Amino acid sequence: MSQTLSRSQRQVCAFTLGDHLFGIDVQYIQEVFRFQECTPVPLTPSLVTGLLNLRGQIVMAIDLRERLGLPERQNEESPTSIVVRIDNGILSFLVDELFDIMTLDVGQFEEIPETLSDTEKQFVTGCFKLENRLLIMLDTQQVADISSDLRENLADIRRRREHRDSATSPS
Amino acid sequence: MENEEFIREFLEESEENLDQLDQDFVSLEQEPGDLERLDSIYRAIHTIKGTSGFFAFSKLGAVAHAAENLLSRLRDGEITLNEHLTSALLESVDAVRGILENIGRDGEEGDGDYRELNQRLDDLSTAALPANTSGSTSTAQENDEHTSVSPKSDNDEPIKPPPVDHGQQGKVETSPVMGAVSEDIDSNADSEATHASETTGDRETVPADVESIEANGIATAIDEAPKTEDPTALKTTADARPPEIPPTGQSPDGGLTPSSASEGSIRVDVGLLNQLMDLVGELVLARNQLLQTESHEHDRRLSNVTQQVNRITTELQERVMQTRMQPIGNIWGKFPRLVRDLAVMCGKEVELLMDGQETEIDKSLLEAIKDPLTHLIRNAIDHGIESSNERISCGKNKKGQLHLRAWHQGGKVNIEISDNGQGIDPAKIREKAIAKQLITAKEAGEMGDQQLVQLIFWPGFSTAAQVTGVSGRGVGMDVVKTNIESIGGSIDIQSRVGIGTAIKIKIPLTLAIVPALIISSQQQLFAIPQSHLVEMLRIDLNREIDGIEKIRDTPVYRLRGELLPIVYLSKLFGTEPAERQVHADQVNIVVLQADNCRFGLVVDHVERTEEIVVKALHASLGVIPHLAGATVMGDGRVALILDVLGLANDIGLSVEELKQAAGIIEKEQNEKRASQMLIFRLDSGRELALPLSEVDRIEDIPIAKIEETDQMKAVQYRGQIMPLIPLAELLGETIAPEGDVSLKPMPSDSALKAIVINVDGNPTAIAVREIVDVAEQAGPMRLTQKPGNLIRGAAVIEGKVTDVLDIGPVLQRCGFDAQPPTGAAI
Repeated sequence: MSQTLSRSQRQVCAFTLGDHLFGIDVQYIQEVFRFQECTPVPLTPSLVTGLLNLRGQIVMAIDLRERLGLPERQNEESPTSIVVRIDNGILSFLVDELFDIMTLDVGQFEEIPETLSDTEKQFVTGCFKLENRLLIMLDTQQVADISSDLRENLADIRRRREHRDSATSPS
Repeated sequence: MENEEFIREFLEESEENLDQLDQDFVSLEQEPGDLERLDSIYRAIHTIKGTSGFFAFSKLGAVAHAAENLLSRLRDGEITLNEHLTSALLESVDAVRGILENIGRDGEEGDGDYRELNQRLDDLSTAALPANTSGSTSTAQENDEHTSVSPKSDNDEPIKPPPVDHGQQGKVETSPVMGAVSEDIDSNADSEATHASETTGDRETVPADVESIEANGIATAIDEAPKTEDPTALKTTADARPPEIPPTGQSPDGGLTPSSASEGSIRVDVGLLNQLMDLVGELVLARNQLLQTESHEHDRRLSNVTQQVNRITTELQERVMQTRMQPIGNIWGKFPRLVRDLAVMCGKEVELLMDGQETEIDKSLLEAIKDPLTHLIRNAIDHGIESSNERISCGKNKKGQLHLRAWHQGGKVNIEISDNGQGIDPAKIREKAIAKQLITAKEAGEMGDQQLVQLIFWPGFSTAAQVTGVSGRGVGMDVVKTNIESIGGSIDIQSRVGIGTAIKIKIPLTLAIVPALIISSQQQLFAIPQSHLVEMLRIDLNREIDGIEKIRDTPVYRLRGELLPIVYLSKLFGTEPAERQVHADQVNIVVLQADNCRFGLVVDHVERTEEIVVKALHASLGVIPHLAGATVMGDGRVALILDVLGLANDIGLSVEELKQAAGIIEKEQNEKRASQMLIFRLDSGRELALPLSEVDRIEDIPIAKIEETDQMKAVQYRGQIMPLIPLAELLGETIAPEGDVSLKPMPSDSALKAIVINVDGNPTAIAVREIVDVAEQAGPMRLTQKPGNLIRGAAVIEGKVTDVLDIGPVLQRCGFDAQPPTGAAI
C-alpha cells in the first residue's frame, strides 16, 4: 500500500453504470482492464457474460447491469472489467467506466437510500454523499454470490425442456 | 525458530518410516526369521527415539524406547515374534504416529497416556530375560554407554554443552540391551560411522553450529544399526575396526562421503510442484499461440526458434508431469497393516499379494484413489474372504488370498483387487435389491447374473447382512464408484460364487493435461476429453435407411444394430430448435461412452484433437453438471470442457428403457403388419389378399424372362433360380370374365407382378396380374372349414369381402414342403 489509511477512512473503487455511481471496497480488487473477448457459458443466466482469459487464468465475468437489474448497456463501447478476488475465487465485474479510486471518510457513510429499487437494495450496504453525486456502496460478497441464480436458471431450463418434450409428445 | 524446520523434516521422515514399519511388521510376522527386516525395523524405531531425545519429546522417547527394548531382544533371538508381540509393537507404532500427529499440529506431544503400553512392552521384553537382568540395569548400562560416547563428541568439538539434558541424550544412544551385545552394537556403531553418511547427508542443510554437530552425532548414532544378518558377525566387525572414528568425527557438512540418497533426491513442496505445473500449462498455451502466429509469418529465423521452443516445451511438460508421478506402492504401503488388522478383527486368515507397486500415477490421483481402495480391501476381507473353517469345508486353502495388481495399459492405470473368497451371490443381490425397492421383481427376473452383481454400485445398496465394525458404515460401493468416476476413471466388477471377486479400476495417468477432441456447436468451441470418445460418425440424412429415428421422443440412431440415443448439443445448450439441425443434409455425431451407456452427441463441426490444459471453473459454476472445466485455445480464446458423465446424467439416458421402448415399437409394428393385407388381382380379375407380414417384396418380372423347365416356371433372380408359382392356374382361374376390358391377355413384352415370399431363405414368387393396394383388415377373418383349401378364409378389407390366400397349402401344392418362416401362423 502506497498510502496508509487512518481508521476513519475507506478506500473505494468507484465506477459508473448508466447514470449511477457505484463503489466497492478496494480490498477486493485485483486489477482493472478494458473488456476483452469472452466465451459464453451455456445454461447460465444472462448475468454471466462468459469466461475471460486473464493471462492463462479463467475468470468468470458478471455483467453488473444485469446483476443489479439495470437496463442493458446501449452504447457500442465495450465495458470495463474489474477483477475482484473473493473467498471462492476470482471474478470479473463488468461495469461501464472506471470512475476513480477514492479515499473517503467513514463519517460520510449513510444508510441505504430509499430511492433504490428492491433488486438494488439487496446488494447495497449504504452510500457516500459526494459533492454533487451519490456513491452507492455495493456488498461485494452478495454481488459475487451467484450460485442460487445459476441453480434457479438451470432448474428453469429443465422445466422448460420437460414442458417442451411433453408438448411435442404424441401421447 | 529454526528448530521448527528440523521438526518438520523429522516428522516427514518419520511418517515414511512408520509406513514402512507397518509393512515390515506384517512381513515379519509371516517370516519371523527375517533378520534383515528386523534390523530395518529396529533402525527406524531407533531413529525416532534418537531424534525425540534431541527435540526433548519425552513421551515419544519413552514409547520408542520401550519398543526398541523389545525389538533388540527379538533381534538377539531371545524371544520369537508371535501375534501377541506384533500387536503390541504395532500398537507402539500407532502411539508414535499419534504423538507425531500431535507434534505436527501444535508442536506438543499431546496428553495421551502411554504408560500402560510401555509397561506392557517392558513386561513382554523382560518376560524372556534371565532373572538377574532387569529394566533398571539396562538403563544404567545405557547411561554408561552414553558417557562413553558423549565425552568424545565434546572433545572433538569443544564448543557448547548440548542443548538437551543428558537424560534425554541417553535415549539417543544405542539400545539398552544386555551388556555384551550392546557393546558390540556400540563399537559397530563407530565402525559403521563411515557408512552412516546417509543420515548425515540428510542433515547437510543444518547450519554448522553446535546444534548441527549434535544432530550429526545423533544421526550417526541412529544409523549405527548393523547391516549384517548374523549377530555374531557383529563382533568380528567390531574387533576388526576399533572405535577410532567417533560419531561426531563426521564433518558437519557431510559432503565428504556423500550418499546416493541425499545427492540424488531432494524434498520438494507439493505446492511448488503444482505451481510449476500451472506455469508449464501456461507455457504450453503460449507455445500453441506462438505456433499459430508462426504459421502466418514466413520468417525462417522465427520458424527455427519456434520449433525449438515447441520441442523444449513438450519436453518440459513431460518432465514436470513426471515429477508429480508417484509409484502406487506409496499408498499400498499401508495395506499390509490394514489387511492384517482386519483379518485379526474378523478372525480370518488373509494373505496379501501385491504386484506392480512401481506403477506410477499422478500424485493428486493417487490421493483420490486411496479411500476407494481402502474401502474395497475392507469389503474383500469382511464380505469376500470366508473364515478358515468355512474355507476348509469348501476345500479351499484355509488362508484366503487378496491380490492387488497395478499396471499401465493404453495410457491408463489399471488396478485390480481380487480375492479368492466366496464371491457375490446374485440371488442374494436380487433379494436385497427387491427388498430395498431398487428394482421390481419383474426387472430382476430379466437381469443376468453379471447385471445383478453390478447393482452393488447403486446408491442405497449394501449387501452386508449386518453392519460390522469393518465395513458397512454407510460408505457404500456407490461412493467408491462416484469417487473413481470423478477422476475420470471407471470401475468394473466380476464375481463368481465360491470362486471369488475381482474389481477392476481404470484411471487416467494425469488430469492436468489431457488429449481432447475439439468440436464446435453454434460457433463456439468445446473440448471433449478423449477418454470418453468412442468414434465419430457423419451420417447422411437424405438416405432414409441411414437416418435418425425417434423412439418415445428420444432421437436414436441404429449403429451396427445397437440403439444409440442422440443428443443435440445445440438443443441442450441453446434455444436453437432441433428441427433446423434435422433439416441439414448431414450431421456429425460424436459417439461417447459414459458409464455403461453410449450416446451420440450431434455437433456442428469436428475441428481437431489437441492436448488441453484443464483449468478449473469458478466454484459457483459447479452447479452445471455439463461442464468439467475450461481451457485456453491456441488463439487465446477460452473453450469449455464438456463433462460427458454430466451430459449423460442430465439427459437421463437409459439404454435399457430405450431398448424396451424399441422392443414395444417393433412388436407393435409387427402386429400392425400382421393385420395389414396386400390386395392383388389375378388375370381373371379376381381379387385376393395376402397378409403383408408374409410378403418379402414385390418385383416386376418381364414375361420374356420367364423360363420353363419340365417341373416349373422360373426366373433368374439375383443369381438364383426363383420358382414362379402360377397362382391362377392353381386356383383354376385362367380366363378373364367377360366384360372386364382392362384385363386382356398380357402381351409378351409386358411384365407381370411377382409377390416374392421367403421359403427357407429362398425367394419364391407368386405370379399375379397386378397389385391393388395394401389395406387394413377390418374385423376378424371368417375361416373356411375345408382342410387343404388354398383360401384360408374371408375378411372385410377396404369395405369388401375378400378371400385371403393361405400360403402354406399353396406351397405344398407346388411341391414345397417348407412353411414360409415369417408370420405364417396367425
